[in-house]
Parts: sequence; C-alpha cells; structure tokens
Amino acid sequence: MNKVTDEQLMEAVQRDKLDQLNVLFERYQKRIYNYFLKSTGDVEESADLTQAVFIRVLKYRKSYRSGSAFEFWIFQIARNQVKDHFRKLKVYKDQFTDLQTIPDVEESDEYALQSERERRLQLAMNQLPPDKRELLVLAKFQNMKYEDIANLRSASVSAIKVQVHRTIQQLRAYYFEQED
Amino acid sequence: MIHATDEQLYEAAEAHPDDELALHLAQCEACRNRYEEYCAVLQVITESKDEEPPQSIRWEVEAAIAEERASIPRQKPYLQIAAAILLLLTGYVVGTYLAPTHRKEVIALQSQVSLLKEMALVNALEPQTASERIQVVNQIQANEPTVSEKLISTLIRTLNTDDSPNVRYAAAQALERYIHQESVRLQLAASLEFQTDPLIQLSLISMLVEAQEKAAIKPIKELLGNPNAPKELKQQAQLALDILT
Repeated sequence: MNKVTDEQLMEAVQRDKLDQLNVLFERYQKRIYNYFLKSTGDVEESADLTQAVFIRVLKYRKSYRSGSAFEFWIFQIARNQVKDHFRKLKVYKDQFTDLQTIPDVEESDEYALQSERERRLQLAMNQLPPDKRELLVLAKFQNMKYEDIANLRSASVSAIKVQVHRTIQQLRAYYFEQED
Repeated sequence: MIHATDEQLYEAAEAHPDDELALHLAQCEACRNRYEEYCAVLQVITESKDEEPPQSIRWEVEAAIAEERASIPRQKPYLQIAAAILLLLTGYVVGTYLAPTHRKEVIALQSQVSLLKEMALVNALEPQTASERIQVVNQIQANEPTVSEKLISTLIRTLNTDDSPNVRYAAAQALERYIHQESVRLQLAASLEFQTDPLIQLSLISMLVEAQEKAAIKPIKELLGNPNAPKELKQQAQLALDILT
C-alpha cells in the first residue's frame, strides 16, 4: 500500500481534518527541532520555535497551496522563525558562549569522545554568521538537496554550492582553531 | 610544487581523492593536513546525532489542535440531509406546477424581491442604534452568497466609518463571506490602513492572510512600523507578513 504523502495529509488538514496534522507532526518534529537546535544552539528556544511552526501550520492551513511541496512550505515557515529569532537577539556573533545551552550527551566512555567532538563542532558553528550556519544545517544536517535549498533561498544551485564550500572551509578553520 | 585548492580538498574529502590528488597528498604534508582536517570535520557532521525533541512540544501542539478543532463550527449531518430533501421536494413542486412560460416572470420577481431586500438592509444601516445596526449586518451575512456591489460597498463603508467598533467588527465578519471577490480583498487591505481597533485589525489580517492577498503586505508593514500598535498585534502582523512574503 502506498504511504499517504505529506501533501495529501496537508490538504486534509486544510479541509479541517485536523487529526492528520498529528501524522505530519510525527514525520517532521524531529527534523524541525534539530534544524532549530543546530541553527540557534538553544534547547529551550528550539522547543518553542518547533511548537510555533506546527501551530502556524495549523493556523495558516488555508494558505498552503494545494499540490506544492509540504517540506518546502514548512521549512519556509521554520526559516522565518529563525530569522525572527535572530532579529530579536540583534546579535550575530558570540551569543552562544554558554555551553550549557548545548544538549549534554551522556558522558560514558563510549560517548565521551564523540560528545567532545560535537561540542567543538557546535562551538565552531556558533562562530559562523546565522545565515551561513543555517545553510550548513540545511545542506549537511538536514541533507537537503542543493536544488531545494536554492529554491528555498531564491538563489541558483551553483551559488548555493559555492556558499556551502566556503562555509565548510570557514567551519574547518574555526573547528581546528579550538585545538590551538 | 603547486598546492591543491580548498575546493579540491573539500570535494576529495566528500568523495575520494582522484589518483593525481592522492599522489600529491602522499608527497605534500601541508595539503595532506588540510585534507585530513576536512575529513575530520565532515566525519563529525556525519556522526552527529539528532536530538530527541522534548515531549512538551507534542503536548502544546496537541492542545493547539484540540483548541482549533473546538473552534470549528460543527455540522449537523441530519440537518444537512433534511435540508437536501426539502430542497429536492421544492424543486420537484416548482418544476411540476410552474409552467415554463411563467419561469421568466418568477426569476424577475425573485430578483426584484432580492433587490428590495438589499435596499431595505442598506437603508436600515443608516440611523439606528449600534445593536440594531449589528443585527442588520448579521442579516446581510445570512443573505444570499452573491450580493450586489451596492451592498458590498455599504458593508465596506460601515467597516470604515461606523462609530461603533462592534458594528465595524460585524461588518468585517460579514465581508469575509465575499472574500473570494478580488475587489473585496483589495478594499479590506485598504481598510486595514486606517483601522485602529486591534480586534478589527487582527480580524482583517487573519482574513487577508488566509486569502493570500499580497495587497495586505503594505498595510501590515505600516502597522509593524507603528510604535503605538500593541505587542500582540505586531506579533500577529509579523507572522502574517512571514506567510505572505
């Protein structure tokens, strides 16, 4: 049996079959939450932003264009949330120096090393401007295709590709700076 | 020795270095170090695990869904069935007893009745108390789905000029029924520019966003720039702007 597509579910939500939003929530909550977590580095804020995205989907269900890609639509809403978040902060650098905002990973021997690497990675990411950090999250953590990112950012695929290259280059520098 | 570029090293770290680059990496320590750094960073990214979202998100979203569901007017299926049967019977009776020659007169008569009804409603909006005017607006709302331009413009005028915010709000609600008409959407967007009551502003924003009316962008931006606008209203306005842009 074919799986019901996201778009079919969203069209049902539009017709006030609100239970279908629970299915979309199951499919997307982890991705959206981790998108926020990597973009903002803040656990509580990420939870608030995630719930706000689904509440917007609910509230503005009638504005979803039937047939258009749901993933694109929900990430558009999520991106606007991130932009709002940074607009409110009005600070573009060094706002994540408090490491307690990064989720703690169980410090058993097995995880300790990877945990340390991830902590350093998050610190390096926090040094990137929000725009580049978000690009990295979409391309490398959400594994979104360059075509989809280009569409989301109204840019060409080649431009996105170059930006991703440069961002990784910058990330590498920040990541290894911490060793020195 | 010509060193490899960062692009080459990054691409090699993403896939595998080709033979030429592999040979160069074997001989050049500087490039090899950079290449290994790219590999290390990409590996951490790949191995980085997604966190489980807190349960509180689910509770909040479920509560929002429940609240929204409660706000949707419930349809009573037995009433719909009864209405359908009644309509069918009426159609049968009208079709059987009215000769085709009389149909034109009936249609003309119906349209005259409808016009008179509309004129009565328009006139009724003029001098009365606020509660009476609200009743008239509600009658218009319950009227035929298609109404004359005069009635629409009366509702718009009421929305823009009535002294009572309650009457203006009722007019906004009545106009929502005709939002599929572009002219109505444009007039609602224009009206948003000079509404001052937050309830009416919220109502108009909500309607225009649902109708995806881009003409609302300008008045919403103006509202956002207004230092006296309440915080909650601005939040909703920003949310609407995000959706429309």
